[in-house]
Amino acid sequence: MSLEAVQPMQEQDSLSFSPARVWVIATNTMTEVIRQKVLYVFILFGLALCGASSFFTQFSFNEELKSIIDTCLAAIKLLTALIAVVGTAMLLPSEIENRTIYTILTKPVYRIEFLLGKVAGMSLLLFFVTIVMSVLFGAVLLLDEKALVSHALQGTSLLQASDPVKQTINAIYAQTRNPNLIKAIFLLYAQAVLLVSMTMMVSTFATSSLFSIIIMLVIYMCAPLATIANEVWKSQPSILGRVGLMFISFCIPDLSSMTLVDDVVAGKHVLMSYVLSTTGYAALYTLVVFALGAFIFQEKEL
Amino acid sequence: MYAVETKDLTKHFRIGLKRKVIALDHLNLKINEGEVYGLLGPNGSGKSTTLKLILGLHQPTEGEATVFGRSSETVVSRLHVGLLPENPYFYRYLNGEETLRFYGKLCRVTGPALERKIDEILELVGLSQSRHRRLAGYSKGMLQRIGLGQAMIHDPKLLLLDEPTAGVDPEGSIDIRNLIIKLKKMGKTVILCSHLLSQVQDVCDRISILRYGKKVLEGNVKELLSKKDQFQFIASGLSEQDKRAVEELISRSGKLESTSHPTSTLEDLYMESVGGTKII
Repeated sequence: MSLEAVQPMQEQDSLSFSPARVWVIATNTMTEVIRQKVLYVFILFGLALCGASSFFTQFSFNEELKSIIDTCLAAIKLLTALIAVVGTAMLLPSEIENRTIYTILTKPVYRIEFLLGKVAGMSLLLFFVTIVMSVLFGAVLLLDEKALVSHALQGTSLLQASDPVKQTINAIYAQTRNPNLIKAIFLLYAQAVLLVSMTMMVSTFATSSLFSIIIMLVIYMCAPLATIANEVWKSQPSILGRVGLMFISFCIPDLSSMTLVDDVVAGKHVLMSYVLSTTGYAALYTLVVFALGAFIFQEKEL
Repeated sequence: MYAVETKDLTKHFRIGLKRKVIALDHLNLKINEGEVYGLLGPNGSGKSTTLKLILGLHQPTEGEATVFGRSSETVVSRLHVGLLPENPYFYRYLNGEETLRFYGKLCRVTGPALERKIDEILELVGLSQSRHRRLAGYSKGMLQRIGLGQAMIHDPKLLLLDEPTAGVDPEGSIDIRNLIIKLKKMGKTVILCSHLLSQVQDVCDRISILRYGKKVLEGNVKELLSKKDQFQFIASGLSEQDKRAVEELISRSGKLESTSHPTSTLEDLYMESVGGTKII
């Protein structure tokens, strides 16, 4: 048995950043999380919640649809946030514990490529989870819509239906085919990606997965504070108060602005400009937090 | 140019705010290309710290390390380096083949060249039969073998092996030793950290011994072990009369230190009994 040489690597003085290496790490991260059984528990829980919402029959179609939308959006929000925080918090400590990080970082791989691969892998996975949940949500809504429309028509065709019946049917369609639902789901995904980046940043200095999860839980719980701080810091009379609130509004992401569940359920219209500006805020926050994490990780002794 | 060179390489670790531990103290090493170099020392002597500094996983407090002339703190210095860490675990959810493919892609080995290399390495480390089995089901020895495989996937010029035979059965241990000798014949540089002194003696050209972070001994293995003022004769079929005559002859100008029957090693005996690989 001979050990033949592969095409030798070219002699070079520098090594450029490689999206291909990031992709290899990202797909491996996805495989890692997919093959962990805890993910299936989360997904089954989310699917069960969405599925069960179709049994929430209420007195009026309006309340029934509202409770379905409320439950399904809440399930997507909870599931994506849980996977983002718990899944990401486990990545770096397990790499260090299993020493796999040594075998990767001793290959020609930049630390930032490694970290970016991990974040991209989790974001990609969350994208698929969001799609699966959304498809189920859409199916539940369509089935309910069909049942409600058929109940409203009571055997007659739409052409023969009276005006009040037509109005009822239009009101049903307005809720089930509401484009704001897609906007709300999109922002929930943006929130999940931000949580991934933030959890990864915390992981770079955390001593364990549990530590990262607890810190993220505190940040998640304090998120409404950021919204308040954001609104009132300018009006503070004292400099200390202003700086303090400004610090809170910078350190804690305004997650509430990405959660439109209540607004959509209440039937409020979500402007496209709002979606774009909130996405921009989420993207900027994700980038800044990632850059901070990359800086800490670069200096970290393994 | 040396494969690895360290100049006054020093590493301190802080414990709390005031205390510091000196893990490595002004270490100077010059490891030639194509050499098998043994890094020996008791636990906590600084062997792993030295490896981590050479691999850029730690930053030196003082001094520097270079790999093929490039600072170990640059990623480009790792283009030609392969590491087998001590007690590796790897990704339990990947199988043997997927593991090698993952590491190969990281090193930009792709396409048919990668597939050929995977087949070749799995054969070489004796894991062809277990290529589709997940690593979660691998024994410690098998993990060590796949670890060796991933270290070699991009055909590096320098291999750092940290306890490569830990947990491996005697036959596997001899396979690894033979492999190290084969790598040397191919012109690879190998740095070997091991507590198995007989193995180090068999394969290493030079060694250095560390203690409390300092180099206490360095040199060519054969030269360090040879007793230049003594001679050894091994004879067979000698009559009692001739044996006495030889003893008399020696006592004319020297002193007979001892006479005994040469013994085999336990390793040789074991390999004869199980009919395993012959030691090169």
